[in-house]
Amino acid sequence: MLTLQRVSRNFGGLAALNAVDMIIPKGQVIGLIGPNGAGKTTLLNCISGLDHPTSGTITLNNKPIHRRGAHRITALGMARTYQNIRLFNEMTALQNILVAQHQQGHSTLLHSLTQWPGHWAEEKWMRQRAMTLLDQLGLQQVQHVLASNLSYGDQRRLEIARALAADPQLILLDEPTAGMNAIETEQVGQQILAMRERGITVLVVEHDMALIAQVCDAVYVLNFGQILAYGTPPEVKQNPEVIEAYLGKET
Amino acid sequence: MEILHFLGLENANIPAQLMNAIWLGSLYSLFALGYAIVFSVLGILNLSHSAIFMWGAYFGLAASCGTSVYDGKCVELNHALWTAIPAAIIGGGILAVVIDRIAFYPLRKRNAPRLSQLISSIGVAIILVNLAQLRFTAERKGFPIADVPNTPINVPNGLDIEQPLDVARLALALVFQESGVSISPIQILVIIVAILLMVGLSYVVARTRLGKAMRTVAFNARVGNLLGINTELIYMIAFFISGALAGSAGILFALARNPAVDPFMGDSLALKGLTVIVLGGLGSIRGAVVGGFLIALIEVYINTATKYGYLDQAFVFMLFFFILLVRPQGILGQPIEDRA
Amino acid sequence: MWGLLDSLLQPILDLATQLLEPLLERLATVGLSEPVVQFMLMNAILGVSIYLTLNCGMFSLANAGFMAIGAYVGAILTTQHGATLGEALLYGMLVAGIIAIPVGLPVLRLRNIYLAIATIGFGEIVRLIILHFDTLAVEFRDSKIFGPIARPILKLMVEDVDARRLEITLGARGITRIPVYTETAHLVVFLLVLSYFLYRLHHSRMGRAMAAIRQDERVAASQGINVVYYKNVAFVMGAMLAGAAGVFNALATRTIEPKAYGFDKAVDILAYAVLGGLGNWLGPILGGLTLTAIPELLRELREYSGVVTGVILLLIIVYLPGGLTSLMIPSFWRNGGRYEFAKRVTTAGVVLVGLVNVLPYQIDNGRILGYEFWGLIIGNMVIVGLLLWVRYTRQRQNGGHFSLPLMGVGITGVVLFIALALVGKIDHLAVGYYVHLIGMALVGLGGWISYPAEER
Ligand SMILES: Nc1ncnc2c1ncn2[C@@H]1O[C@H](COP(=O)(O)OP(=O)(O)O)[C@@H](O)[C@H]1O
Ligand SMILES: [Mg+2]
Repeated sequence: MLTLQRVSRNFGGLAALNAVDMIIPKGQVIGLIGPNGAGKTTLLNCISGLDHPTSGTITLNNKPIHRRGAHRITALGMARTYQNIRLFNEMTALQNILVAQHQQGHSTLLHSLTQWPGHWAEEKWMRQRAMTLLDQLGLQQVQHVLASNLSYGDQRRLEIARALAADPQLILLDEPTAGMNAIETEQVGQQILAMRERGITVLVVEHDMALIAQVCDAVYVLNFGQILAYGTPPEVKQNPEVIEAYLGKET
Repeated sequence: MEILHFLGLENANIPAQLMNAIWLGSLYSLFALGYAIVFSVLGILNLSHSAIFMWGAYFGLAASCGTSVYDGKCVELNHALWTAIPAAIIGGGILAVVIDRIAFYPLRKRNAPRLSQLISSIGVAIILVNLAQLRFTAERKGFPIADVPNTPINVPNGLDIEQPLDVARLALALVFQESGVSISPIQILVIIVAILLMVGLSYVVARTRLGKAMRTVAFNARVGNLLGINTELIYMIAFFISGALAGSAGILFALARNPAVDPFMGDSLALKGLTVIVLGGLGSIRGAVVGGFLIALIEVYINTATKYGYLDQAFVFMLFFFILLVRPQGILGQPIEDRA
Repeated sequence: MWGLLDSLLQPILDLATQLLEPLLERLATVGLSEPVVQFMLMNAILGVSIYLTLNCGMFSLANAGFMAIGAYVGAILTTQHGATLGEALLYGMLVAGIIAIPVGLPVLRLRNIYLAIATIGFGEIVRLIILHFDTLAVEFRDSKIFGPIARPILKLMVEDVDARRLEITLGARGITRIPVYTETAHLVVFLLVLSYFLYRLHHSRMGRAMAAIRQDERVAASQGINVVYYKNVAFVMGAMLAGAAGVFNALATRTIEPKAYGFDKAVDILAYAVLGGLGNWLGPILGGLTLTAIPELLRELREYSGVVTGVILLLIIVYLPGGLTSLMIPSFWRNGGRYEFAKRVTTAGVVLVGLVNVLPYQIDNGRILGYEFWGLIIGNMVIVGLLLWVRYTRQRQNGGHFSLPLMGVGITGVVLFIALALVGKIDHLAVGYYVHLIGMALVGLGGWISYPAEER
């Protein structure tokens, strides 16, 4: 589904990504782990079009996407969440979802001005769809609350709901459980499994190894912008290089 | 000579026009420097800068003419002409600090978006211009014509060799006469004061501890705080310097173009100053100086060498527009990182 | 086509004129003569024009330039071609919109301060080109390269293209003897249509996309929103509105000159939007109306009108960044279903109090709404001050609810106005006095209703 070939990204002199090769097969949940500053977020930015690789190619369903703008990548069926929550704070939870359904709708300003019947049907359909999503993530109680006033856990859940609202085939989650307690983390795990049920491919950046073991089919390990290891969660856990990268060299 | 013909300069008095560009450029640079300092240290585009420029001129006028300027014209000087210059510098500096406290400090504390600061600076500009109009009326004022030595030095005729000033005039006249340049003592004063202030400023910024602190705060205020720098004090100093520069530019302009003091004297410079710092690179001190001279040169060139003199301002703004589009960091600035 | 439109619009305009007549008469008694009212409405349109771009996260000061373009197109069409208001409006908006496209495409890549100053530059270029248009036109006409292109365009503007001197924009003197076609009814109807447009825009897919771009451009892009496209659409819409305001302006004032559309006007337009507030499309309309009316209403302060404008701008941006409308618009409240009712009650109260203040207070020799000037001013200063205080302090305590302070404001308002009536500053027999009391009571009631149940 998604293929990265020798993707590099330099910030000035710093190589945040260095010739990363990666394959994300359709329908799988792939983990991406690595110490802080390894370049995980940078990688997600490059894939989703918020940033562009200095060199290398990224293809989604065999279409090159590394030069495309973010909105055109979304149109190909990709959505993402952010490590540092980036909701539309002046909008309510419901409005956040409605915005994210932008490409699902077709009604133009003209339709809205003339009160075209199709416009109403579409608005109604969008609202219903949004409510279903909020329901799924347990946010129906807070649908009219401004995003900035939501609790931390709700904000994280709303980020996931917003990503799902774009109806993606591939979803990128950047540390979706950061700052959550054990029960909430467990719920996010269930959500990820539910996504897989529905045939959505998932790339998830995560620090919680228990969650990784629970949901991931395979894991990439990134360190200093390079792929250090790849394998199933148990394999990776036992890889001495990975242990070293996390714990530092034993002296 | 071919090239002169190509540029349309074959009939121009090049040294004279260069001199013209230099004194005009000094004025622009002086004005733009103040803009640039506040922008580089605080990231504020202070659109009330031109109002400080105008008030500087009034401060100077009031200092050497006394209170008579309030109601009417200045017929005779109460104090020596030179007192106008320090008065404008100090007055402008204090005014700028007061503006910072009223219009920018509360926003800074609230961490308001930068555009709020732009808007509040516009508010201040409106207030200052209208206050000047209320206080001094819209009438154009100036120093008594006889007291300002701004007739061009031409023929050293009837000079009194005993007088030191006249000796200086004679010397200057001899130097410039050869090249056909005509320049007035006041224009020379503009150039000298401008150079003194610019050299002094670059010394302060580059060499002293204060300058180092300013550069640190400009780079990152939080880092400055961590290093034990009193950032608010630095901001205050930056505003004082900025206002002082605007005030000095104001009074020098008033002297050179006497009579030239009215509430709207800063208007044309407000946007030109903006052009200068955009050209030089927003927030770049060196850029402001280079930009000032460059703009002056372009204006003088268009006015003397082409028949489109009436379009000089339009050309300047087209250039400004164009630079913003292709190289928003200006000719000397660093590339801007997108801080999204 | 025109005929049909005309016959559709004419009855509406006639009706509007009839309805407006008594209102205009009343407004005139407080110093808002008909030309002033027209300016208020034009400035409301201008406020909306900058709001459209600000609402999409673009700080553009180009609107005075587009207004100038509209004004000159309108003036040239009516003086040279005998165009009607409708035609002038159509072409004025079209020309402004078409010029906005090539300007917007490169300029809108800039952000923040860079965008602001680039658009200031654009405005100056427009002003200078208009100022020197006649000389430039001759240059272009006589040039070998541009002549063939320039001639047909110039033919649209003057009868005799080959005259030695062309008189089109007439430089600094400006165009004089423009027919006066703009009527208050036109402006009112235009503004009503505009309000409908804005209302629909906000509840449409496009409007949501624009709001998203304002809040976080990059996230909006990765939610599938074409940022460049919507920014340009908003920019062009803003330009067309400014162009329309320009046409109305030219056809209302008889004379136009380039000086009137310079940087100062750009700043004024910004001030309308900032004063009214950007949280809601009502803001810029309210801002345009009030900021134009204030100097006329405060005749005691007319001399200081410029200073007053500046002080208002400064106070608003420093102490009420959301503008006037933020006092009554949802973000002022804690959002949530169970606060909806309380919100309506308080909003009704604020609107009542507002109405008393907006409507003239001297009708029927002070019998109906009879306030003494200073009574009104003092009373309202205190109320507005309290609301500001509520807004400002509560905003800082994140998540604090407004119930208690609102109850405080309501009670203080009632007590204050009773007190003012007792000392004779307000006529206690006047209707306005009771409307005011009821309004303040509603404000307090809203606060009480919204008081969280668990703390009651
Ligand atoms: N916009 C940027 N400019 C400069 N350096 C950056 C930028 N974004 C990220 N980096 C650097 O790239 C490296 C990788 O960062 P990041 O991708 O956020 O790591 P992770 O998400 O794995 O913690 C870090 O050293 C970071 O400082
Ligand atoms: Mg990260």
